[in-house]
Amino acid sequence: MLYTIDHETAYSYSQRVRESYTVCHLQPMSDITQYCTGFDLRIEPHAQIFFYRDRFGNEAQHFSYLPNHDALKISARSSVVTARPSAPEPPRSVHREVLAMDPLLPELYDYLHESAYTTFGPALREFAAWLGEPSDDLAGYFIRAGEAIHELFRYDRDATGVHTTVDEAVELRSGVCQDFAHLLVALARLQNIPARYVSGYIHTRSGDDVLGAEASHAWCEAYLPPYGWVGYDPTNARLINDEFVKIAVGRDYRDVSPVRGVYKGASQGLLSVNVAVEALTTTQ
Amino acid sequence: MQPLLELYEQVDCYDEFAAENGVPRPHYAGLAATLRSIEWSDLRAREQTVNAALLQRGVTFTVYADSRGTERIMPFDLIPRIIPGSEWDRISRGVAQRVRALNAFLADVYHEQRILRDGVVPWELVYSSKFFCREMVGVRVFRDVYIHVSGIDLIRGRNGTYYVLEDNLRSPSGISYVLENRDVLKRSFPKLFENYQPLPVDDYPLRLRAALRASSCNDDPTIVLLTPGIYNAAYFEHTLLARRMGVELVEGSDLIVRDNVVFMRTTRGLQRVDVIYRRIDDDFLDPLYFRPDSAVGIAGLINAYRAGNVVIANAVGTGVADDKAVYPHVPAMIRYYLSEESILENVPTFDCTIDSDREHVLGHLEDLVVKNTNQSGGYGMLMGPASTAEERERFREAICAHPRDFIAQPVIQLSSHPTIAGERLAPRHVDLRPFVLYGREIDVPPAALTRVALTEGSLVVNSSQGGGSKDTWIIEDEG
Amino acid sequence: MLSRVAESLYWMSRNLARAESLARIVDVAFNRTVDRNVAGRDQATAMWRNVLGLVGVPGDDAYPGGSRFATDAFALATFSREHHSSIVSCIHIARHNAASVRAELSSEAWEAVNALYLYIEKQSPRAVVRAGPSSLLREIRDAGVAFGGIVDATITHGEEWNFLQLGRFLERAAMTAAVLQTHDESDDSVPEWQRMLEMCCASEPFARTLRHSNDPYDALGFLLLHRTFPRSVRHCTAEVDHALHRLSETRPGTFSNEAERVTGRLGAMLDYVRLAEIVDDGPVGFARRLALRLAEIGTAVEATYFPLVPAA
Repeated sequence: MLYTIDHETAYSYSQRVRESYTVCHLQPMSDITQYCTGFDLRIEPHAQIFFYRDRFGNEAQHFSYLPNHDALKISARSSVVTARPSAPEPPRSVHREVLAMDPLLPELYDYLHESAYTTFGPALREFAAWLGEPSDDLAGYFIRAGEAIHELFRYDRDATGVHTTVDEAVELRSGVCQDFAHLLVALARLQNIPARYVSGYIHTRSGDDVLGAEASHAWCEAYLPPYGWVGYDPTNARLINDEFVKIAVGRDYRDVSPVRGVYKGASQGLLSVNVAVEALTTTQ
Repeated sequence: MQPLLELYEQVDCYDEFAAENGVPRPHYAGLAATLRSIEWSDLRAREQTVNAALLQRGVTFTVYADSRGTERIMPFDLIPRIIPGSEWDRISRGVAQRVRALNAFLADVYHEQRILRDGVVPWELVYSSKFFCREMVGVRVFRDVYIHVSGIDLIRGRNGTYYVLEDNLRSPSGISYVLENRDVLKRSFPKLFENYQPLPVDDYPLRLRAALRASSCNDDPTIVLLTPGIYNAAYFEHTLLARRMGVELVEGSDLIVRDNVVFMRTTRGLQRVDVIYRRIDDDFLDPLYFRPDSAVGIAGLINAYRAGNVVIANAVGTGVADDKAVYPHVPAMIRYYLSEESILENVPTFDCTIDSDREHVLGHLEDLVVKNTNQSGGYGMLMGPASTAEERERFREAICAHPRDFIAQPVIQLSSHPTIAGERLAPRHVDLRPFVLYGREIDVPPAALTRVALTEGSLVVNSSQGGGSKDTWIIEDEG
Repeated sequence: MLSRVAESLYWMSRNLARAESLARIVDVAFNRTVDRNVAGRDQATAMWRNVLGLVGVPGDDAYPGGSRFATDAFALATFSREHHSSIVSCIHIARHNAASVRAELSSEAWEAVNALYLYIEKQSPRAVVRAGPSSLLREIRDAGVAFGGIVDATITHGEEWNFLQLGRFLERAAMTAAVLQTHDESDDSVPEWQRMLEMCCASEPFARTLRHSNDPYDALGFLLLHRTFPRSVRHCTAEVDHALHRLSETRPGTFSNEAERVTGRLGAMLDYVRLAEIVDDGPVGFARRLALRLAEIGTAVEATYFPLVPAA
């Protein structure tokens, strides 16, 4: 599939602020499953944009705007070609011994431990206990956990916020894609399966009922040798196919948040985000 | 005449001043003669003059708890510590070797991670360190120098062997005491000083400036010293170093990042900054990447740093190399990176994450020193032999709950040195902190801090725990 | 020089000058109230209200009133910590700024500020009221004046000193303009003008300069336009102008930044204005406009030398 994505983030402040510094993860990644053919980032008021590759291999963009301002608009437009199957084969059983012998495993420390948003609290442990042991099939467990989240949790935009932890979401039995992704990441890590948080987009074909399409989306990837990183979207209960566009991967939301920044001033910013994903052609 | 020296009774450890038979060691003979020739009242008078001079010069540290910012002088003991050249030679080669290996370790863990892949240092250890800075992974620093300034704490065991107790690779302080102690002592014992001719310490600021200058790819960089401000305990040191180096003393609010370049705000507009000798912790450097509530940091600094537009000295993330749980692996690093054996020994250390070590520690708490790996300055420590059952129980629970946070070492009877105590000279335990500079090459100036535990029998020398300091004379061997 | 350092020097100097001026004003006000011959009770009340206006206590509501009104007003103007312009607040601000630039000050200058701070800190308002406020106010006044002498004698007359000068003279001009705004225009009596002269430390210099004058407008002219009296608005404005040109190293009579432009404009007006025009205008209205101009200079100094947002 060929996609064009417009992602607009606008802040407005009731009183003027100054010295805004912003870091973005807005550029879709290029790997063997997708290729970013174009990326354009504009800031209003105008600011010079800088780029770097972060330690997870993501492209990051940053800029600063020093003078007084009461609004800041960040407009990203990207073009991406995806090359994933539309109905991927689920991975067959992955034994723990295969994972244990994998030479990459020691380097995946960060994907095996708690992080700021994926702490192993009592509510999470209780939920994991209810799910049961992975026994001899890690891939099966990963997908089973993802399906359970989809079935048992209510998608509710008002239930949680950007800073909700896994434990809070488990207790509420509701949340949005970010919470579900964090939960699946935490469940996998709790069973010593390396897992990471993915931010990206999901495309809605007309008439198709998917959740998380109006803004940026998030899901989870688990490291399951010999398949490598396998992505699963607990919000929509499906393996990652050509409806998804990946932007960045990290320990949790904090590593890959699309836009984050600091500024000086007493005013609290009002945020509005608008995402439009358009499919141009179907490559078959 | 008061028999100043005759009353000096050695305790059960290595004494710097006198051999076991009580006779002063050869390099202390001159000092001994002076001490025999002066009256107690004279020594007292000199001591008072010195203390008045230190207070007047503002050689103080701020006591945090006091809202008025009360300033006190760090207790200064008049009797100098003397180190013969041959001994210093070994020390300086030893600490240089250590810093070279630790620096190689930092360059490695933030890039190729060979030492982890080769299984010499466990992955887990590095990644679980509170001070492993993930933002630094893959970030190149100029000349691969991370540890521009360090202070290595040395102690001496019963037979006089020097051991490394701790590496301080973040922003070690104490050099201002070295500089000021020398200045005032020179005046109190001019004759003795002339006879000994200790190596000068007053070029330290210039050597530091040279190291900072070499840290930048710019030939004539603008260097600033970044301080957290007047309420910081070491503010006096910051002002002293800035003044003697001839560089601007800045606070976070004086710096601003524009288009990925760091500037300072001056009355003539923005002026570019090339090197920041920072005396604030990693966590507070940049609210965009680290603690968002940092009021002393500079937003955007890490971006400018990553782009190579500014040098931060010491580099960000050096704390992973002086994590107390990493310390036991330093001899292995020296072998791994330098193919050398350590010149200075480590104190034997038990790693509480290893089951057998932990069992041993829990079984021998009353014989060991237990240290929290996340704390320094003498805080978070259990002195086994002096501890109560209740304290030991608290540590036992903490060790079981968080083994990664603790190491344990046998109690080393630090060497002792004659020190003014009340109305006599008494042996008090001392350590030694040489400072190591690293710009282009490693430089070990003959400026080392001797800290002394002023309480009888105490082995804790930290200024926050009632320690004092001594002037340290490094002398050239005769012939 | 770092903008922060310049800013701290400037505010330290302004606040010490302000504390000094306020101490003198409060002292005069207090003496006038206790001296029954001078003013009636209503007049005294009006005068205290004006004085409290100077330290930022608004209108009638905060005014204590009652039979001990003079002592209450004195205590408020001197010791109030809520109001940023009370004498004790000024000294706190000055000391805070001094502490942050200790390295740039001479130790004598730092010690002078710190000693004043420690002195005011150990005063108990009640004890001062009981003993009479004169000696306290005199201490503060003298410390403020002495500070000017100490910095003049112990600091190189370079950039640091010029920022101290800016603060000192801008504040003096502002305080003289403020005193003139306390004038009751219905009362052009000699005692009323004498009060304002005293509040500006001008009564003796005025008497020496213009012997036997009973014309109130001579006093007005002296406070506003005298060329060499160190607290006249004209003299202070000229000193500000000199300090600005020394800082920018540009020729007097020209301007290279906004601060120099607005200072030069005000200086020219004071150089060429006729006293009669001011009298026709109404002295209080003139003083009020003057205060706005001086505030404009302050804003321009801040924007030029220590801007919040650096110029591109």
